[in-house]
Amino acid sequence: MSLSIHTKDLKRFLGEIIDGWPTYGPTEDKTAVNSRYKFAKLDKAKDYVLRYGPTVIPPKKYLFPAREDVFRFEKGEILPPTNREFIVFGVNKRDGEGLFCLDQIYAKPTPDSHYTERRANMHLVIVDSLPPSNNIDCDLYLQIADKDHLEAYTYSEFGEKLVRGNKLFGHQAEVGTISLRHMPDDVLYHPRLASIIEKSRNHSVWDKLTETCFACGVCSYVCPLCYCYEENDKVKITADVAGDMAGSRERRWDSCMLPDFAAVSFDNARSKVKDRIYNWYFHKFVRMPREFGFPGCVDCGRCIAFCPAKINYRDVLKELIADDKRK
Amino acid sequence: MTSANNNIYQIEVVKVSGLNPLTKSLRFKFASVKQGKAFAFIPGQFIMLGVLGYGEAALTITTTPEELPEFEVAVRSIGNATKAMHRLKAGDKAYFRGAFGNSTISRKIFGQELLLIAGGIGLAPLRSIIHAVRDDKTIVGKLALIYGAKTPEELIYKGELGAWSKFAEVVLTVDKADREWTGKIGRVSDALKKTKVDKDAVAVVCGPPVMYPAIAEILIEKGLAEENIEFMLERRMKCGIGKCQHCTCGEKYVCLDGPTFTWKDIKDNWEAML
Repeated sequence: MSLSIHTKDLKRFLGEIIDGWPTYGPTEDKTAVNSRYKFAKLDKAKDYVLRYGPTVIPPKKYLFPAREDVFRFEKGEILPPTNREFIVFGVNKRDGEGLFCLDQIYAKPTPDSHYTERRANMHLVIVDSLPPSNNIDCDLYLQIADKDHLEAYTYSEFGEKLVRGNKLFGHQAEVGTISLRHMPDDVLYHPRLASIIEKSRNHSVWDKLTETCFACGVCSYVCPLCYCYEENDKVKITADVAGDMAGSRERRWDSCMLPDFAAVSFDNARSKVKDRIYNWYFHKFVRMPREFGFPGCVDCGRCIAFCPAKINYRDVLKELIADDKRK
Repeated sequence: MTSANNNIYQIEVVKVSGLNPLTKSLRFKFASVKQGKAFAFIPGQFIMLGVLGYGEAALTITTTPEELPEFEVAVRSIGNATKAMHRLKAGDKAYFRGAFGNSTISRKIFGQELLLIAGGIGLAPLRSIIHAVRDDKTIVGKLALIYGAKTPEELIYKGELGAWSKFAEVVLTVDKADREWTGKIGRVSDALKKTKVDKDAVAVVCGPPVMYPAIAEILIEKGLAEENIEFMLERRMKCGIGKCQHCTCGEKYVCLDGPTFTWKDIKDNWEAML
């Protein structure tokens, strides 16, 4: 028999967490334009929403922020950043899968120490009605069992500590059976998707996309699995510029959709929008499956919801798959 | 700060010398003896050299590992970081991460001919290999270098070319000669056509990528195997460890799988050739 918590006690539990650590989670703002949901700092448990729709920015921002200092420098000295413990609470399973994939990406083949140090300081609590599975890495998983209960699964000492001995958690009798949303995805997990895309370089779909795509890069920013970045030195303007410069190395999100992404001194490897669009798909559905064993997509739908040109990547994949069948 | 990408080596400029009007050679030493001892590389590998406040650039080390704890790089003044490197004087501080990438020399080419083909400042990444052969002639059967530039003024390491011809066959060519020029006139590919190359030779080519397909064709005609023809690629690079995505060429990363690629590996790659 596992431990569970009453739905009405969830916010009390969250309150305890907020008292102990800086806590981030899904919140709601009914006046917001693009999405009423967003991940933000939770100062009070009542700010938290149990079920959220797609947020514009996925929780990847807590591990890989849009802008961050990799190190600071002053008087020729390089100063590493300081990390502190924090909790991300209430991420749904799909966003949890996104974070799990990001962990694999930043660990392979050479770990990015900046990411791994931050990850070591993050604790994750997932809340979802689906049962946990092995493609997530969290401290505590709360499964919404029925309208009154959430069942607790712990995956780390930290998660264990949150739950064991906590009076809000108790042993419950049999919880109702859960109906699983079973979605066989014959698009994203089409067995030959990688080779179909690899061979599709001259397909007309890329020309069609070139006519609608703004190449704005939003699909990269909102994607839980887009992880490319740009790094530049940022310098503080002070009176003493000539002597000892102070500033930081700033890492910020980049997008392979932007014109200068692959530019070098003598040329630009992807000056054409068509090549950049093809590369986006090639990376997510050819290079990533071969490099990491999973596609660069958890099907969260953010790139579809927030694309100003209303491009749906699933339609693109379906067209390529259908044309491949016809051959 | 211990794992690969953030392992920062602090260095200091020892000497700066001009190579051609736009290119300088910078010689560095390590700021700490401990770091100098910890660093190792193979000729052909590159580092991310940086000047605080100006960013980093990917540069191949142009000296051999035997010369450590000092090493050199060749820098052409093009962007923000490389312009800052050009302003460095002896005693100035810089830093680097690395070494990254693969190298031809990591597989010894016993008995075979090693043919190096360079265009413009493409000679710089090959210099480490040339000096490695100079120091240990047993690593190749024979060394040949075909080196071309637009004008004699643009040739780099001019003072060393004479010494190299003592242990290697050196062919020099320029597109446009001046009055003093006594070498060949024409493109690198023209000089290559007229050069005798062993069928089992290994060729390493570094220069403007526009010349690569033509050179591959000539070498294949001369009987070289596709896996023995290697090209060095250059891409925008930020991390050096396969994360930032700027250097990808189809399925390959220039920072991890390169910068040296065999023609066999890249001839069908949709974006390796610019």
